[in-house]
Amino acid sequence: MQDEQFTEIGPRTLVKGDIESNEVLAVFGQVEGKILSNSSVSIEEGGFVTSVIEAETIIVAGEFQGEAIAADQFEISAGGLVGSLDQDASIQAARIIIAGDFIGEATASEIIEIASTGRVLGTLNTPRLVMEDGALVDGDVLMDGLSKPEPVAQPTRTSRTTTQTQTRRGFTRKETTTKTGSGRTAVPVPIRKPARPVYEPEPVSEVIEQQETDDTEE
Amino acid sequence: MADASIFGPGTVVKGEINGEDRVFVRGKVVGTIDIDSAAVVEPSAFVKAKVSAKEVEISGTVEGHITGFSKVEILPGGRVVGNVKTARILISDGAVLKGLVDMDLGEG
Repeated sequence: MQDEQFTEIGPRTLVKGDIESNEVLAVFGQVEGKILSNSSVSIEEGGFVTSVIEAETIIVAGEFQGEAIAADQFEISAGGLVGSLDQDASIQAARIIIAGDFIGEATASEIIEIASTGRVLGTLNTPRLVMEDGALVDGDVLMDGLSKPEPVAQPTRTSRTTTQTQTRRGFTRKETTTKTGSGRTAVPVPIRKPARPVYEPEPVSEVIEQQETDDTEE
Repeated sequence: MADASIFGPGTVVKGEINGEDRVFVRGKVVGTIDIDSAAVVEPSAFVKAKVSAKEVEISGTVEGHITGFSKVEILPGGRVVGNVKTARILISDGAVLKGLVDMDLGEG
């Protein structure tokens, strides 16, 4: 009986509606609707699923359009397509592996890996990203909070040298303390040497004196 | 390998199943099964649907009207609550049928 614990939707079968499953589900045909599974869902080559998938793991070797949430892993095999130019797909998973084509927004809580055959058009949200040589990405890559970097003290043209060094020192110290836990070495902030002499405003007293002399000349 | 559709015992389908593949139901289907091939309702299956297929073979439970264009077979353990419309019908000892049987397909 154990080998019967699976569901297969044949290549010439169309299911319209909702599927709930707690066993391995392979789609060789077409599904229009919602698939809820606490096991794995695979869309095989030639298979086509639209709408929503929620499962433990999802593998797409065929085509998927819509929204997918995988508790564990979402994989687009080589030749697989997720999303289209007309309609972005949205996928969420702990780990996302892209070896096929992906159009849309992908959010991974752990890692996104893009194989050499992978192509991405859209947005990748992930704390870690691995790309093989040959992988294509056209779009945004947002890695944690780094997508919105903390405003580094911008050396404005009138800022004084003393305040600049203070803020820089504060920034680098904060980086080293926060990043030690993640095992990632803090990227040293390149401290730009003041190549040009810092603009020094003329002493206020002189300016006032000049103005006063201008007034008196009138 | 996959020239058939198999709906396993841990799967519930709510909706329509259409197509040309043979369909094996081991789980639960609520809605409609309308295929051009054979529909096999296995012992573990519960089908609450209108079933329309070329051949229908039942050893599980079907609640709903059944149309088998060439044949309907109810095997031992099979349980049907609904009308059956077919050209040929086979009912085994131990099968249950509650409903009308219509073998006059010619008049639709």
